[in-house]
Amino acid sequence: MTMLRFLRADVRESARVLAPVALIAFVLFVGIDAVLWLKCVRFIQMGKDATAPTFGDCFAALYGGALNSALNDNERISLPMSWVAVMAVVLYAPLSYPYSNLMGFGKQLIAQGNSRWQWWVAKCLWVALCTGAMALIALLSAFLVSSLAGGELTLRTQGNLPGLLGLNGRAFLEETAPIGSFVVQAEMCLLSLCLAQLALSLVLRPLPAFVLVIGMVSLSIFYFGFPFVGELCMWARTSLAVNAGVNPLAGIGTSAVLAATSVVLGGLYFSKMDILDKELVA
Amino acid sequence: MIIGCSLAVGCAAMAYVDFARGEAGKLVSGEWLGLSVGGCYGLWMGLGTVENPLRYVFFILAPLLAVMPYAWSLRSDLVDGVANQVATRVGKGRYLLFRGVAVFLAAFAVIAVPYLLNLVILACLVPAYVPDITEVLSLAVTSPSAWSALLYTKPLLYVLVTTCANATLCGLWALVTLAVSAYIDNRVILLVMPYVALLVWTYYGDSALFMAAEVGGVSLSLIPTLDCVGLGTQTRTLSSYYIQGAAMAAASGASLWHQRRRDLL
Repeated sequence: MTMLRFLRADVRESARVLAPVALIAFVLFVGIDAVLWLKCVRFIQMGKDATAPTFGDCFAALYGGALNSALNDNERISLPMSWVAVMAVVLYAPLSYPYSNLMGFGKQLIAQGNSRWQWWVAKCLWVALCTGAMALIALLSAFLVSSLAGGELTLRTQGNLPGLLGLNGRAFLEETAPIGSFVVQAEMCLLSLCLAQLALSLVLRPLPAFVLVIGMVSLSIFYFGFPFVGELCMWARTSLAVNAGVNPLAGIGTSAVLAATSVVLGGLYFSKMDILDKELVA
Repeated sequence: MIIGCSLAVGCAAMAYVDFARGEAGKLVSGEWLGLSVGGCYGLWMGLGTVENPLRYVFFILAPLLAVMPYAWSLRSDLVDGVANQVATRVGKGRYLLFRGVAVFLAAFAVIAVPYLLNLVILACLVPAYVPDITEVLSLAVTSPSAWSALLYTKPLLYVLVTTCANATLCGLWALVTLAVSAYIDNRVILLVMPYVALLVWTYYGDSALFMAAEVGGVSLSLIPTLDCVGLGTQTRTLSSYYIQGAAMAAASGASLWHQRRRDLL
């Protein structure tokens, strides 16, 4: 019951901080999808194989990422700036509030609730809510742009999507699969990264934690496998799109394990952490 | 500084391992590629002749690293009350000016030192061949790129000029963050929000806008400009530096000027 009260207070307190981030995220997501729409129009005008972007195309464009370097036929990897920007916005959204809450009002709540674990679990739930809100914005943007473009509202992607995203089309399956399971995998991966960042922010403080996580996420453009879990957020690395890609079930499982580990280790650390002798964030 | 230097040392180590193992060695003895690509200038992290993930991570993180040491100091002084004490003694204008100078120099050092450290380490390990113009395809520094002539004639000067220019841009970026600090209280939001906005702008300013307008042009974003090759879709010319430098200097100058007239209490 106390935890629900914590969570309600978190949602109320953080709304002011999250509103501008949600706006930035919406502008970015719609922009990326609009560029995809523009490219589709170009391709159609040039007589290339393309249709109006489907809902699946628009979502995959947000989390397109980069090909696994081993599949890239010795071509140089071009840095996917749109993917980096999307990851940074989503990781930034839940970054500052939990720690600033701990340095202020949160201490009184912990004293009143008489339980650190309840505070910690409430913050983990808040991070999950925050990541869910970002996922909703991504889905809403994809829906909005595909509807405006007159594309099909289906999870299927068109055959020429790799070309539209500037990826090496030869590495992709001839018929890419619907992205339903990828949507779950990407959002689970983002949740696990955000929870890992939350746990790290207790140990290192929020800014170094963000630098560390965004650094690891950037390295997953070039490397694959554990610990470069950022690749689980890349459509170009799933088995739905490429031959030797990550199986969505394995991706969801890995993300769940990382999320659970972050919650447990973060909680154990927080239960013994000195919360009085810290620098003030405000 | 420690993070930046670690990435620079990692870059140098990776380049040297490639060189020693034969990947860069192949460049040296290869049929199609000349000696100079495998020299310390050719392998320098600013050029990126060899695919090196750590240099990309450095460029992605550089604007964040530049603001980490000192860009929040004005906000910290305002909150602690130090700003009132100092401003009453030396004057508000002088206080803001020297605060700006300190922030600029800190950011400059955070970016310049890793660039130079990388070159020094490479120079200790591989020969200092002067890059040859016949290898322009590998080096990817063509005539529209800023100071490209220097690379093929006086490479050390090219490294110094490029390092100074990139560090200056990062210093100005830190000043922009300092200027924003007059309006944002939370340190994490203050340092990370402008960075996230910059990443969003990198996408729009360096690919989406030019693509929509169907034109090529100069790189208009800080992150691709820090990299000499490979990162941006637009060319990194002298205009990139002038436009971005002027925009950041004007924005930070105007905001600090406004701050000069505000009540410190």
